[in-house]
Amino acid sequence: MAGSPAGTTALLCHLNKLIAIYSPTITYQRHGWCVIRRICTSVSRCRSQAQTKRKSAPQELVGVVGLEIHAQIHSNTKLFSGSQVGFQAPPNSLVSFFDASLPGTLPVLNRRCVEAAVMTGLALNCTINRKSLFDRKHYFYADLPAGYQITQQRLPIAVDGTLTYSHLGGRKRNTVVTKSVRIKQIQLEQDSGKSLHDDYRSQTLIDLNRAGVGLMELVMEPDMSCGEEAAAAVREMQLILQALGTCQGNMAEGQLRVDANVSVHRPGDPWGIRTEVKNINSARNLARAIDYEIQRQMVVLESGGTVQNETRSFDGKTGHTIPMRDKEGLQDYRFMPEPNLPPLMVYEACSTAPPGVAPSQLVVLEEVRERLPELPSVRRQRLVETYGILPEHSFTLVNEDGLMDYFEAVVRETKAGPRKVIGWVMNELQGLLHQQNLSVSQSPISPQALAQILNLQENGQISSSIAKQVFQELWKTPGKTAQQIVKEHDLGMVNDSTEIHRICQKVVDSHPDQVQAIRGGNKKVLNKLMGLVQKETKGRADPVLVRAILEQKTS
Amino acid sequence: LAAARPFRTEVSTMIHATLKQLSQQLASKQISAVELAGEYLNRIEALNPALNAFITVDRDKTLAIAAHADARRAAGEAGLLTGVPVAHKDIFCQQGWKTSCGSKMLDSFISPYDAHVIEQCDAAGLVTLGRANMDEFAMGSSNENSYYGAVKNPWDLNAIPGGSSGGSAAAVAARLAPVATATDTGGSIRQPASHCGVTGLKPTYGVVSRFGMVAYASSLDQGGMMAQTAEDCALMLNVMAGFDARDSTSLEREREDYSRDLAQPLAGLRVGLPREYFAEGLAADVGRIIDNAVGELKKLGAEVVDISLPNTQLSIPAYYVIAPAEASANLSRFDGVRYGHRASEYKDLAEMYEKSRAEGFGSEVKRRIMVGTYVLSHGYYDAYYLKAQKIRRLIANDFSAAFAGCDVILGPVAPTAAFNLGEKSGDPVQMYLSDIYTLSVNLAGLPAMSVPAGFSDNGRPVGLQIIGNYFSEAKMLNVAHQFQQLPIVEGGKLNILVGDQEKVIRVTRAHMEED
Repeated sequence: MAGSPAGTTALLCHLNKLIAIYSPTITYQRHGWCVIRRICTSVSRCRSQAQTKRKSAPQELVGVVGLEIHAQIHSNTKLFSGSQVGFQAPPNSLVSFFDASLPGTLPVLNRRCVEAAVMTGLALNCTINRKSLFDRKHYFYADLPAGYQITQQRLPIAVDGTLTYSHLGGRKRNTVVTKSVRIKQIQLEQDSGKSLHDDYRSQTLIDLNRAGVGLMELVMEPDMSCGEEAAAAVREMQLILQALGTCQGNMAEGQLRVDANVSVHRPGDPWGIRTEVKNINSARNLARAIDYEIQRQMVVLESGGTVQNETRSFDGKTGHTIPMRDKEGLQDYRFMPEPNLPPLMVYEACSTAPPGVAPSQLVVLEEVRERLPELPSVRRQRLVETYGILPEHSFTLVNEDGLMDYFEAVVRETKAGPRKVIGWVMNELQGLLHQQNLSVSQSPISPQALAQILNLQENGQISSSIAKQVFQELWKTPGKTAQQIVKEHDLGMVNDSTEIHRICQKVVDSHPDQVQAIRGGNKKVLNKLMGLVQKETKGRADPVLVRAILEQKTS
Repeated sequence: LAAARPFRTEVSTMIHATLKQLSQQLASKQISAVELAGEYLNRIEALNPALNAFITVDRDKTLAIAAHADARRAAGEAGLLTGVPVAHKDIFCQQGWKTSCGSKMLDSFISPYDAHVIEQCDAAGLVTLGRANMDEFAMGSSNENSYYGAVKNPWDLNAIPGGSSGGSAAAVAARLAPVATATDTGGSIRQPASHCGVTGLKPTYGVVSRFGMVAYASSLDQGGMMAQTAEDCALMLNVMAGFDARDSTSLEREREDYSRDLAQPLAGLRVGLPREYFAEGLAADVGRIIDNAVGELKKLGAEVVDISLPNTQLSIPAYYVIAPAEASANLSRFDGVRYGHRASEYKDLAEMYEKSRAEGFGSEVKRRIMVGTYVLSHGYYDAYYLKAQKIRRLIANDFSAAFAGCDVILGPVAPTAAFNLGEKSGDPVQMYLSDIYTLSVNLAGLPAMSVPAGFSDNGRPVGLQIIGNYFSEAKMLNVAHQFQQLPIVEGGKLNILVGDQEKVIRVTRAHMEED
């Protein structure tokens, strides 16, 4: 053990404290459920905060975080074989002779996978290499049938990109802070199979369904400083990949696998020794793992120890990272060119391709570029410009799966303005969805139903508070229409001015003190009387009319 | 033993027939495919125990294929070679046949699919006689590295047949098959063809698909064939060549008839003789035979050009870096997990790998895996692999410079005629050095042939190597065919066109007498 016994005790003590305080939380900004879901942990320490907090103080350690993302390419067939890609299929049912590495089998590159990588590269502002190469990376493992993985080590398909992402910052943590991380490269490679260990019978079973599925390995430069940033970057990456359709992006299902390279240093100093954290299955756990690891390394360094260059595994239950037993750090992958695959060529246009190449075999940048869909950042900007909503609202709309479509459907069907609609979507809808842990697509209230409610309100048939009540009712009894609920519960607006006059008179008569106060100049008390009238009418009275009558009666 | 089975006279001479002759006899119904296959099977049964040219023979299966060929002919669906028997090197995956690649590792491997070469042969109606012996995973120059034992040279049972396609060469030489498929990574077709006195052709890299060919060194491996004559090789190449989308290095070219130029006269042909191929190390008798052959071609109107291939010496280190490097990767899949040999006892995954591979591979394969692993190791890659790739480029440049001044290059295939069994097996470096004239061709991806040219002082066959430019197979075959039309007399005994019947029969008799 390094350090004195006292140092060791202090370290252990500190670690225990960390365990105790380590309760990750998800917080949502401001009232309701709007803006970006903020992922933070109690030990979050972003570089930006550290820098702004103590500019002149002795420099403190900050985290340096880089990510390696393995994104499973969403395609019908595998990267180098015609086997289907599927995740629910029975074990070893989607395995070609090539996938099982039978002798004599050879790889044939799937053009769809190449296009997915090119499209992803373009969306991330990468330079697409017109010529890229495949390499073999060797290691022995039972679920790697060939004893090597075909990857792109020397010359990957795309390089030098950037990913722009946002998270909440500022003093109150309610401003959208936009940052970017450099994408070093995107390489095409094969996935491995799966080893299923049966400890009870002490045997290992191999499922090769996944073996050979196409992956894009996206390598991000260490431009992040904390878990929150990394989680936000990964979330943005997810959205981009989903918008492109090049990866389904589900982390829990392993479609998106994120490994974090974490180190700490004092700004201006060289980077510290890094660790690689694996086994992270959600954006939330990514933030937890990184923040734990940064904190752990700080503790190690501050107590005079040294950080080991090692691979660590994140344990979601304890929130800790622990050293992995494998010898990967020591492994020599013996990279060599893949002799079975000629260089991968990408052409700017069909006309620049050499003659004799079948058009069906060509990967043409021009064509891929044309097929690029609206990217999340463009989408947010469009929402802000088209509907006049706040930027943070545009984030929520885009980041929550299906929410933007929901919002736009409501806007299309209602007379209510978009800013009114956004309030409903952010507060009422999101509130209930989150409370009941539902996705947008599971909402019992369709966009059309919400539009009806808003229309009733716009037409003056119900008041805004009644509208909320109708919303709650409709949530419980989704079969009904808003009109039915209004009728059944007798929630229609009371427009009968005689009746309102009567009720107002009753309130004025029974609250002489308040009336006195109003007459004395305290106009605010009028609101109290208005509330009482609404209470009497169960919120159905037209507030404009009530105010006018009350003002008249208290003048 | 079964050797007592007598040959019908007319059929036993038929075993010397060329593919073209067999094709005619089948077409004219002088013999059926079943009868023909039966005769070859009888001969294999009689002679293979001494020669060990085949790893697997399956009479029933072969006769069933032959019956199918006869049915095709009866239905009027026969091609030129339908019903002609063929021996397949045990490196081509063939559905339902053990595909061992000469290794204990794959002794239990029955291929579930056909290599492209097998598909092509089947489609042409060729009848599989059996699976030819070879050096384990095609690593070797003497065929002493087979798990199934060494192959003997039919001309002299004490001599090696050459390798790695020794079984194919011995089978064709001893007339156990009229034609055999083979592969050439560093000379594995040409050298055994030379040592066994048969005609062998290695096409341009990419002409024959590698799909289903068990890989040794993928950037060098190329399928080809051995037969008695250049004309037979042309007919067989017509069957085997062709684009295959399953091999990304397969070349998409228009189909060609490789026999189209056989009859062209050689007048004006520029024949390059590389200085480096006639230098120190070449045995005097081999040198004399090659000189004589060149002299014969001159008589046919060929013009001799002195050329230089200055990096020839470097081909040995370059090859013995690149080939083992690729082999170490290619053979990683043989881990005992999914198929092939698995050790019976092990305590964990690592031990399972170690034991299975230690037990399943022979010593030459282990040696090359270790060399390959070493040269690819971190920190050594640039010094070995990268440098070897640069040499490879230089060698290819040497050839393109040479072909600017000549149409084909002639030279020896090997520095000596076949050496004795066991003579070099203890000294791998000596064995590697004997590949000096064949390795460059693979490094450059060029086509080349070996054509029987005479006999060494101790009566062993010696071949003439013909190296062509890329895709000049038809030109090489033209030269070889014209050469084979000459009544070349060597020691007053040999007509190489149909093989030395006296010699073959003597060997045959000697064996039968032993039986």
